[in-house]
Amino acid sequence: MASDRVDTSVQVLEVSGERQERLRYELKRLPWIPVVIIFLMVFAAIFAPLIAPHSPTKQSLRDKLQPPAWQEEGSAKHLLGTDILGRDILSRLIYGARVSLIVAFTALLAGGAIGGVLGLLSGYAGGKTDTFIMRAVDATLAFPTILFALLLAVTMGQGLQTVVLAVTLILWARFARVTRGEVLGLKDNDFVALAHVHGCSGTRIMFVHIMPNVFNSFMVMLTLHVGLVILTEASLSFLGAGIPPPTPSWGQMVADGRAKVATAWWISIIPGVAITMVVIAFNVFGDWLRDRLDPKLRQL
Amino acid sequence: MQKYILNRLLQGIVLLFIVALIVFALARATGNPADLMVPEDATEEERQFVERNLGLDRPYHVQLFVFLTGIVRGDFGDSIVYKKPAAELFFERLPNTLKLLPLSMFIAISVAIPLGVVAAVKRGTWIDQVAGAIAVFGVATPNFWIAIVCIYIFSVWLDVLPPGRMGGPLHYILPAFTLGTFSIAGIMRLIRSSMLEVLDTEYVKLARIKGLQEWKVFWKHCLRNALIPVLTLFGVFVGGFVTGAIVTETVFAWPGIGRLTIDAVAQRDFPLLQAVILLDAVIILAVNLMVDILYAYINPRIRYD
Amino acid sequence: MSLRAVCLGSLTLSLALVLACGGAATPAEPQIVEVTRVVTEQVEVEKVVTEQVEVEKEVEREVEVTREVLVVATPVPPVEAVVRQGDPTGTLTVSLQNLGSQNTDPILQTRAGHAQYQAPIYDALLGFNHESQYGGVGPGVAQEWGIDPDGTSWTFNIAPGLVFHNGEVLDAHDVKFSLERTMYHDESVVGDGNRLNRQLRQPSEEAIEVVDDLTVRMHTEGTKPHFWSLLTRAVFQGGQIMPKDYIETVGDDGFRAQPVGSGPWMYAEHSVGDYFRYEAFDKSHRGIPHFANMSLLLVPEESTKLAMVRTGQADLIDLVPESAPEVEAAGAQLTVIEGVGMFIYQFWGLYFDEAQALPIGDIRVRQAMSLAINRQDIIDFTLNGYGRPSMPFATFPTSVDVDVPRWQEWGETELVYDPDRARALLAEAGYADGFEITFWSTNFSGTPYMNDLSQAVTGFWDEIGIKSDLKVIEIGVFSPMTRAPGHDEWGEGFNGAVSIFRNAGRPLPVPRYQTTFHPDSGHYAFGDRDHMSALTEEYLRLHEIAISERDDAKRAEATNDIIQLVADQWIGVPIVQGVSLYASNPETVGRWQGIYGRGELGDVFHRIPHAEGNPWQQ
Repeated sequence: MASDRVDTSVQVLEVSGERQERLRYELKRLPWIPVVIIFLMVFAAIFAPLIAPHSPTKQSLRDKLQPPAWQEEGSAKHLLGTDILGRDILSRLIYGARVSLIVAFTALLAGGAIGGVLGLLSGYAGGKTDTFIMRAVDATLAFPTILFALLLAVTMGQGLQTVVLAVTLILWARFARVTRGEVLGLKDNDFVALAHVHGCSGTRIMFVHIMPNVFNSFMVMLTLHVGLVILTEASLSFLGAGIPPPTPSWGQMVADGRAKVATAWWISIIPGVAITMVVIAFNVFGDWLRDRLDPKLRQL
Repeated sequence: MQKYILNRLLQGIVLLFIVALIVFALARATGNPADLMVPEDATEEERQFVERNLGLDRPYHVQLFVFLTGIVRGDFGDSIVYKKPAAELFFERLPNTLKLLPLSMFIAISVAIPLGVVAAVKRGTWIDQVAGAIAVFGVATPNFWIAIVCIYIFSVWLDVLPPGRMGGPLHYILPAFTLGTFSIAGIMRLIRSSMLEVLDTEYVKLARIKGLQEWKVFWKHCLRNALIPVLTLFGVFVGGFVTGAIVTETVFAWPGIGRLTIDAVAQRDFPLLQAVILLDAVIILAVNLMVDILYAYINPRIRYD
Repeated sequence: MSLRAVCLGSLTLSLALVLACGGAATPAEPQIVEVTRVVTEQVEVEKVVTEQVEVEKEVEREVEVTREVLVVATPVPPVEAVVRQGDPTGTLTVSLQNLGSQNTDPILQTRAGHAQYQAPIYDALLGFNHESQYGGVGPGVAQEWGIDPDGTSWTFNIAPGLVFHNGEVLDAHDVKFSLERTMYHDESVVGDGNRLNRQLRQPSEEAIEVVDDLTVRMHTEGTKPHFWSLLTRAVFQGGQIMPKDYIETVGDDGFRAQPVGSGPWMYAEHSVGDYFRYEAFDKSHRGIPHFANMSLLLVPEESTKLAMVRTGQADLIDLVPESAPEVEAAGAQLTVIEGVGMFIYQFWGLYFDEAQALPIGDIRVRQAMSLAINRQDIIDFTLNGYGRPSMPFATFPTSVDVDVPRWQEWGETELVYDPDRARALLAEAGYADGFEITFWSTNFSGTPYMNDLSQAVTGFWDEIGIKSDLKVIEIGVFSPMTRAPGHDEWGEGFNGAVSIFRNAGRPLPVPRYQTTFHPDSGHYAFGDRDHMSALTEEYLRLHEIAISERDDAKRAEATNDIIQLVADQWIGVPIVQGVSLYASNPETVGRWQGIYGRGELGDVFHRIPHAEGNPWQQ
């Protein structure tokens, strides 16, 4: 039994003696700008109540549509200006980071867990189980993503939970498919055969021997899908089914200000840029992670 | 091979049946078209009158039976709102959406290939990262937002492109661009990784040793081989295309299936909603199947089970 | 400037790209074109059929014309005198956010507000009062109408000389046919058909009587003083007149493929989800259009519509108040239509004992909530000035049976902003520290800024300590929660909560009160049949008088009593009166006026003139 465990860890870390040197090398190539952006977002999300200058939902009709501070009519009171209800854009942006991250992480963890387990099962068990799960995956992927989310949103009513559920239901299939592919590749490896010989149960092999090896690509998938979650929420907001006001969400902010690009650009351009920057950051970071952890992973 | 195709087709039919059931249930859970058709201050009696004449007072199992037997005959029923056969509405609009496909694919590919190649060749350098960031711009930005900003810049400000609707060739540029940006990242990533793989192969190394010029190595030996896996992405592209069409067509007032889908959802037009989602699913499944088969022909190492 | 140059440069590049891909795109293109062609051919075949039918009609028509001359010796001039010079020219292109169900058949469109693509084609039995600044009902196909001395029948005198687009003469038979088609056709979704059927003497098949070619008499069940309201677009969506002989010849499908009406615009073609096209008709009593052609384009996205009017792609667009500064700054001409509706908030299920225990069960609390709202700020800021102070629930300056000055004064004195009094009232009721409440909100069709209004209202409540749990939902989920049967248990739907709502700008308030307060109707805000209270009894008593009393004064008294009854309860509370907004390109479109109370332009398009030459600046 013990020998199995050693076997597994060898697969992950290869030679641990070179570890430190490798880490230093990798850190040198770490994409710093994306990391800083992600850090800032997480920081804003966690400490939102401490750093936001105003309440994100407090309206003040008379202060409506004030431009950012650096523009002629702007004031230092509202650094990034105000929206059509006179709410402070900066504060909404900061709290919006929190909402976006909550949605992204809940949905990714839920979707990743479901998809991961089903993918493991599908890849390892094969046969009818595999066919059944994979056809369910196909069925899910055959729905246009946004439509699925939209249908759920109009069924359950809008809200954070709805967006999370919708994105979860979309994501699990992608995770399941990738995990299954990975498992298929690993199944024929010697260490699995060895575990069999030692009399390990199927469940044990699946979770103890195979799962840790899938973990790397799983992490990469998670990172690369943060953007998808944020964008799905934005598209839903555009279609009128996203996270409803007054909860500040970046997608809703962009959607709300879209008809005012000409006269009050800051309402939608600022959160739009924030979304773009964060999603690019997560993607570049994910790419780096993938190259580091799993250079052969092809599909997203 | 034939057995494989047959098998996949059968599975596809079962799949569609499941999708049909889900759609039927979801559609009815979302509300009642009669509520949306009558004015908000209609009396209860008036609402029931409308509901009855729309055939919505029939029990669900009767509606389901009509729906399922209809599908078998290829009849999706008539749209409640537009009073036309739902399938006819779909196929009237489908060409409008398909007309955007070639241009948007071209835009996506012509941006993605150079970026992918450069990123692979300069792997691990800042150029790689920048290329990745550029490629990812399309998936990192809300589609509707790109569309609206483009309308503002090119229609209102520069006044060179029309802001929306179908029309002459110029009308195609903005919608196709918006749709295309969405796929750049996926294609670029695939090109990059398959280029990396090809660059690593023996025959490329051999070609280099032989002293062939670098660009010749790339274009003749690497890219051609790297393009094969991109084929699989066509399936993903079409799936993303249908999704993107929903938003893009709404912004550009483009009368395609995306808009039809949104209208069907917004109005809870059950027969139309069922038809649109099922036919969307048929298209996505068919494209995926075709890609799988094609891929199998190109790459004989694939197993069918 | 240099930024612009860069943009132009990159555009040239992308244009080159497009040109290059023109080649790439060609393989797929021809196939698609072929498909389109096939469809067009089918349509043409259908047209041929219609034309044959029209030839058959001609014979019949001659007979009718002779009869008509016998009845009316001197032809009366068209009801609405038309002052305009020259023949119709050019095309009017209008981009609209909503085109309803886009059916050519009037019995397939439920909402008057959505029917602006039908109103150009069809006349209603009664039209609009163009002489009053407040609109209301006026002559239409019937130039005169009135209740008979017996009090249970109405006579309508049809204007002579009216013709349908195919040349068929419009007479009493068409009126009877059309009303019955609206009532009995098993596809009819026109609520007025249902209302009409219920107000007519049963069996209603015999209640509409053709007295002669130009006279129709209708018999009602008892006295129905507001019977006329079911026959005009000024109130609902009823009374649309369709050509009897034509429909009987070509059938429903033929009629829907090539609809024929008597309005100022002839149907040309349409594409569901895209556009409607029309040609000017030169024999309409409503007037001859200034433009020879008209296109109504469906453009759901506001920013695209704005771009279209700024770039000249559209001559006219509808827009929300929030967009007004942009198009104004761009030099577009804004047209405001007043009195089109009223935004209100409404408490649900207060008749339950459970609700009486809540803060909102206390009438003082409800009044305090109204006093907390700064309506002028909402008008000035949320609506950019495009809103008006409101009268009581569902009443407008144009309302019939209503003492307008009395209620205008009520609005000025009662719907005021007085946070101090609001706090005092809250303290008096024992809620000095405020409380929590659920506020449901949605955007109704045509006013996609109601969620902003909800946020503004809950923001003001916040200031006196009332915390709202604002729940914004999609419109399709909004209605069933309030209307569907079975949602009248405590804890279901909106019960115990408040929501935003809207009153359409109809000149007749009684049906609107019925919808919300009658125990058998949709909202039963005073209680359903299982929860009858003194309030409900009193309402029912007044309602009976208001809908059936022959004597104008007594009826008005009852109507005003209903208004007072409801106003005192603070259950359905006006926020502000809304307006409809349109922006036009002054290079192509001149100044025009809408109809008071009707937010959509179905009865206005033909009166929109060419530009008077004001400069169009970017």
